[in-house]
Amino acid sequence: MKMRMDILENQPVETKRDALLEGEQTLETVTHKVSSIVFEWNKHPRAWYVSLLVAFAFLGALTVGVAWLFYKGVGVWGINIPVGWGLAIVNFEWWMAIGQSLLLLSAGLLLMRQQWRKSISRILESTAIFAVMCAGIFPILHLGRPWVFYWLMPLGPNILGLWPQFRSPLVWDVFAMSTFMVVATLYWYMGLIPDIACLRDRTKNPTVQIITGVLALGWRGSARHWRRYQTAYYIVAGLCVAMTISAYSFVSFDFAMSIIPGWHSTFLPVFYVAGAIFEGVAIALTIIIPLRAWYGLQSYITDVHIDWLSKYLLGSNMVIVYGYFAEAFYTWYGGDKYEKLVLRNQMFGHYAPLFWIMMACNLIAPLILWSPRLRRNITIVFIVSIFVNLGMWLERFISLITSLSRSYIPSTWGFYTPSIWEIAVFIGSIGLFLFLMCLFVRFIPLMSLTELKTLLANDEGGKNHSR
Amino acid sequence: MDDINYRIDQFDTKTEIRSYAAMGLVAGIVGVLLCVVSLMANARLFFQSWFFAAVFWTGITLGCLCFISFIHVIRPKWGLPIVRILEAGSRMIPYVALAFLPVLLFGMHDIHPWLQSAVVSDDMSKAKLTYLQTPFFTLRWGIYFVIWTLLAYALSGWSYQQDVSGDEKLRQLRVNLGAPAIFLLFITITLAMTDWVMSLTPNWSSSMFGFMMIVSQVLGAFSLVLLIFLIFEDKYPWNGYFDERTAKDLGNILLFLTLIWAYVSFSQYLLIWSADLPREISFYVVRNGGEWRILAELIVVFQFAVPFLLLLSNRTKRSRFMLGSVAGLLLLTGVLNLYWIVMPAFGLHRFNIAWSDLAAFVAVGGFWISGMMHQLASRNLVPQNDYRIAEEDMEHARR
Amino acid sequence: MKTESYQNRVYGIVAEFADQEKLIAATEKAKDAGYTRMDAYTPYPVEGLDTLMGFREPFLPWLAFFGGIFGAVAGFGLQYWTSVIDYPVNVGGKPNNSWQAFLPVTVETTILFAALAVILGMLVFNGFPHPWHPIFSVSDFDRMSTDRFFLCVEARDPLFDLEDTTHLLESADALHVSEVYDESETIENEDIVPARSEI
Repeated sequence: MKMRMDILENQPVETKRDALLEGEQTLETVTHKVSSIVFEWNKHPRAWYVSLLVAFAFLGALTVGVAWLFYKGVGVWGINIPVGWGLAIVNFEWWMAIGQSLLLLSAGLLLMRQQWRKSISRILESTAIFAVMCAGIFPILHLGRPWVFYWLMPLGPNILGLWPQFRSPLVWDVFAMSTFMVVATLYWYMGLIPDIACLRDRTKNPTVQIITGVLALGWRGSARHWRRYQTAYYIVAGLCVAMTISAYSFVSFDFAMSIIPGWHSTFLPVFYVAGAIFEGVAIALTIIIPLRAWYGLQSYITDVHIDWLSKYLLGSNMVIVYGYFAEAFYTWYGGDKYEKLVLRNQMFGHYAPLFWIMMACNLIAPLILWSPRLRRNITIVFIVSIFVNLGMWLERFISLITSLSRSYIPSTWGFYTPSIWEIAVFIGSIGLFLFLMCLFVRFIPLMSLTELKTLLANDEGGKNHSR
Repeated sequence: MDDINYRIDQFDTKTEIRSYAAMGLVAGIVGVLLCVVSLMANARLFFQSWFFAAVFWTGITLGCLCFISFIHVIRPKWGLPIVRILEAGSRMIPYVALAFLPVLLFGMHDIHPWLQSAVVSDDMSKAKLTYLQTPFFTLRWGIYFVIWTLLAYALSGWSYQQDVSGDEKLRQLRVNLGAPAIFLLFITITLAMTDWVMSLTPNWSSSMFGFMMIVSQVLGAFSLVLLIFLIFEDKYPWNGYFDERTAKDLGNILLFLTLIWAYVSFSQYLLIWSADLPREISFYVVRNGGEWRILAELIVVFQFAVPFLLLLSNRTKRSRFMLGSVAGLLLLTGVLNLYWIVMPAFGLHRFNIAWSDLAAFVAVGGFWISGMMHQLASRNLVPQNDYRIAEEDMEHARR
Repeated sequence: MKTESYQNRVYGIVAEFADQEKLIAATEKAKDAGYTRMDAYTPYPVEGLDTLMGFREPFLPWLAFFGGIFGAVAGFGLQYWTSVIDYPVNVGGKPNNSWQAFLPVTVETTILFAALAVILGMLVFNGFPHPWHPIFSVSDFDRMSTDRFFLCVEARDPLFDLEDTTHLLESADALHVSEVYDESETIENEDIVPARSEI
């Protein structure tokens, strides 16, 4: 027994649980830190105001882009025959990936009892919901007649007596997205209830008291309530895991169910889900690294968290690389000449420069993080995460555009160049995301107080606990 | 704890494990005798049966290897009681390589249709035919097994060494090798399964297939290992490991693997069904048609629906008997699943499970179990000098 | 013993603790003394407290299960009815009942209804929204959500006695012990789950 205890002392620093919270933390300091960001609205760093300004500028682009689109129709975009799906679908995929994978991470890590999730879960979940809101813009704009978008839902037969075509993955997306919005929002709100109660108890402002009092539903931290709350929370987390994996698989089915060469690949669902995690972790790093610097959260979101996220980036990257290998190998092995043509076109065709940039972003850049020394350098991690975001956007762009522009018959070949109006809507969606993030930081506890407090309470038998 | 005492305490358990090894040996010998008879009766049938058994037990071994690499990377607490069983399983790689030899030396023409000029169709590319020809096929076979052997013996060897020396560097070595090992295993197993199984239907290909096989193998291996752990659960030093938390974790992993298997299998089926391309759908036309359909339906019910519903309940996960039964069921349906994938390639008539199938399965499996149990009994049954154990002790002390 | 009318106005006796260990110790003490009607109020879920007090929640998982079953049947039924019965359309030669293609939406509706059932079930069983509760009148209760732990022995406990109970809680290292008065007409008891020791 004695010998084994010695080993415990020698365990590496990164596996010690208390590194997840730095400094002398008590329940009071944690609560104060989180709630003060909400209460002391006049103390927001300059970066918050700058972000808000940028967000408004981008939202302006969105307004103009959408207004022009509604006035003229989808012809103002660069889409054509044969490339009927353009930037709008690329952006839809890209935002969807962020949304689905971040909720998957938050819920999956909860089920795996990963302690390091606790201080970033709120950021992951909020980002997920905002990203899916951004994703939702694009398919609706892309419909051409966005005012009848509800025909996609089985609200009753439409004017021709028709129902939605349930064999189409596009309809599955509608179900996946609406399920996501309902379940993810409820899950997020559920996590918020005790935190709102905390704000209710701490605020002196009567207006805030009323608002938080209503939203907290009368939460009083009863042991009975916690029991039911936790049971429900774990069940919903499990459902969220299934929901997000299936939802992003449906996005891949939009392509893989067809017989277009390059799209029709059975590995695509797994490839897409792994790619989504890859991209989601990258965007989480892109958001968390500046956020914790601006709001001084380094004691709560420590370098251990960044390290863990980087490791998840590497893990999902291995699946991506395997995916590239499987795609290439089975294209050769299957021997279908059209599939081979698409692969050749990706590598050496019209869009080849983008392909090689993507390879640099998705294959080369993450290699840097294999070195533990470089992984501890936050600036490098941040730069790599930017490259991965770009790489995954290009990945969706290339797989979508190359296949459409070079299909079976040479007479149907064409090109696609995004128009300024498509780009405006894409930039606008980033603006919308940024705007929502600014609101989130301003009004909602950045970190889950419940989770942070359980982390404190279970830390080394309560050594660090309370007073 | 005193080291010598510890060894003495394990003695009884090890005796019991060795008795299982002996039983496996007897089963193996009986199986081999039956196989000789079957070889005399119908060599073609025998080689097909033996090939199936070899692929299945290789799969279980590879599943152990994948899973142990994963455990070394993430170092979970629930991994402790099954680490040694997985390691013993992964060390059977050289043995399953031997099990392939009869087919490789004498049976290739009875198995692989691309060696029978009559079957090779015109639209099979020349490059692919060259790739699959026996010399290169054999070379690749050798490379796979060399890689797998090295990985299995390096990972388990460092683990055994740490028992003796207590050197924490060995743990770090396993972490460092674990991640690249998983990647290497994914690539090599995909290639191997393409060579051995996918090429049985020469014109068919599916990019999900390699991954699907890996998932089935890990599911099969985990079921078997869990079953073995639960059989010995009340014996020292395993007693006490099956607490509520570990039970729940192990059950959830089984549930998760079952779901992933269903997800992957269904995705491949749905995509091929919806595209309905002649070069792809042939796979399911054969396997979902005629009598094979019964097997397909059995697999859906017993490899997915029943275990899924049972594993949703915490009561199943907490009960040693129930969890063991589900693991056993999943192992059995894993055999059926591979049978459903491999055998229809040899022709529709193969639906009746021939007695040579059973004989070959018992022969290869008996020796596998025997060797694996022997490996298990020759080391500590639970890793020593592992800080996770120390942490566990502290938790017990605190309660 | 106090008079009947007085007892009806008292909701219970509340002790305030500085950390979870003291709360757990006090709960054990009260349980050993034979009290069964207790509740604790904590800033975060304290591990083991629910089992100590004998709270179980066997219904929520079943609610999720049946919600899921309902969602599955409804989702598949909707697709079957619209594609096979109400308006069959031949799409790409696929059968009217393309169950393979109907499964994805079925999965989504299953998840949707299971999640809705369990979340709404949690809120309903907890009696939310429930803006007022006698416990809120305890001074210092606004620190419940930050760093204080409260244990309330309720007046409907058969062993409840103002002096004895107060004494017991005071001896359990409490920062503060006070009586809680119920200002509403009746004591709300819709969420009473019998303690395990009673069963």
